[in-house]
Amino acid sequence: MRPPRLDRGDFSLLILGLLAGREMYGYELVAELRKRSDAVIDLPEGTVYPALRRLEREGLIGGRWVDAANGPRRRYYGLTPRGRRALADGRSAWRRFVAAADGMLGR
Amino acid sequence: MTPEVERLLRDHVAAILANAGIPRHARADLEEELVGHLVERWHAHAADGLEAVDAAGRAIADFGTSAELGSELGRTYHSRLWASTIGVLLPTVAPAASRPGVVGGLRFVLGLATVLTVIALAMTVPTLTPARALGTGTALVIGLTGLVLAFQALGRGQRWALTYAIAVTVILLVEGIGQMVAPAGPRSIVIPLGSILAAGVLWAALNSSQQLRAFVRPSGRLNRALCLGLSISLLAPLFVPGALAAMPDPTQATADDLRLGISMTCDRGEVSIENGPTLLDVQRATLVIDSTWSHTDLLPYGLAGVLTHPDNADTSGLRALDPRPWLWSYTDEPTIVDTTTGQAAGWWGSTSPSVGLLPTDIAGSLTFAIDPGAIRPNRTIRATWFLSNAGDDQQAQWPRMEVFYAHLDRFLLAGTVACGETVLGRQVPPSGGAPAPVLNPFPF
Repeated sequence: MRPPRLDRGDFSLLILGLLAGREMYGYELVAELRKRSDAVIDLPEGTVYPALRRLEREGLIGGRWVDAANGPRRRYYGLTPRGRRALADGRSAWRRFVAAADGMLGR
Repeated sequence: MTPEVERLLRDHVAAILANAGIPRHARADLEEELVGHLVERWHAHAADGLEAVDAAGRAIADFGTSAELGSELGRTYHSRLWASTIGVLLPTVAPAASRPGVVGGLRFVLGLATVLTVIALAMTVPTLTPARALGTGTALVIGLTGLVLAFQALGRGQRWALTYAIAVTVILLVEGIGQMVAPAGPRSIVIPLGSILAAGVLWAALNSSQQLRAFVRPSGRLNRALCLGLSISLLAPLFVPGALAAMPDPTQATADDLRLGISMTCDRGEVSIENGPTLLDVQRATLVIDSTWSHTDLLPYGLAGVLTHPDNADTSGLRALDPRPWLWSYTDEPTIVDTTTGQAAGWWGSTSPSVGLLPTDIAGSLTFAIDPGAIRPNRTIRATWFLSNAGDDQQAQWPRMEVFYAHLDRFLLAGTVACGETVLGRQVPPSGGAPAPVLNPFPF
């Protein structure tokens, strides 16, 4: 049977969750996603950039360029107030969904 | 980092951005961000001991394909419609270096078809009546869109574009054979250059089928909606113009829109011959032909007709029927007037192409032309003929007159009237010759 897959909305929610702790740039986000999910979520790395663009356009995150000590400058992203509200809403909706799924699948 | 590695990484980012169709002004920041990511990943792989070029290949593979990422990024910059059409049809999936030579031939065929379609659009559509012009123009534009997209996509390794190009080439081949087998005229000789070209390209494609398959292998399959749209773009220019030509155009008048009233009165009386004697007790006939349109043509020769003013008058003509035609003389010239304004609405002796629909024995002084500018809905144009018996026998049998009315090159009405009668004309088949066929404007 095919394993469950993230859709665009789920992936965006995970990015909001990662950025809730601190600002991150794209490469760092990918590394953090892989690390925190024990590599269960292992998408092509570039996939994060369309998601970041989408969230930025929706006003849920903001980006700023930061010069790196060694190497090219990096674009860091952080949550906007609207993004925090969206994360809270998405988190509770996700938990309800997981609880419902657990109710059917068993823990 | 070597220049070669930097080029590889930058090329990958450039391909992603090209596939995303991102506007130039928005590219710089995104390019810097994506290249920065790839450089950092390259450093990580290089630190793990990979060779520089291998590390670049791994970094690129980790990042994702330019087609997928370009499509995803395109969705964030463009409408859903763009993302689901152009964003799917045009991404580059194969490097230009792997392109087989025959792709150039197939693209030449697509380019040729594009140019011919543009010419058809420019030359044919302006000459068509409005509804046909709209339908045909739309079909040609849809076909043109498919051709241009296929031309672009084939160079980028899209499988659908290869199928499309082969279909266009087959159509070119079949159309040329069709023209050769059934040429336009009895003495025409058709040398199907397009078919010869198409046959050569198809032969080359057949011989390079392995390379072609390998070239388009990375590209994905299209969904049903796009397949349907592309099929329509291929078939619409072939069939829509012919179908429209076979259907009535609601912007054009039909025979049912013309009321042709014909009446004739007969008497005996004086006839004055110009510069000659006045004859007494001569058989005379006055024939009145009223044409009233309930609905007139809108741009009957298309927009081109507005500019070129073709000689497109309607023609009415008459002839006397047995037992024996009279020797006619005209006691006066026929008059053609708009009954509402009293203004002249035509002239005696038509030379318009519509004469071609009349019986061949009706021409010259037996006809009159109706000024197309004078034809208005619900107005009557009246032509009156003043005739007399020019023979010696002034006790001859009164004649029956057959009157015809030809509208442009489209249809013919006729009616037969005797003295004291009023009749309505009815549509009859063209006598002089059929109207010119409407050409299929599709250029293949």
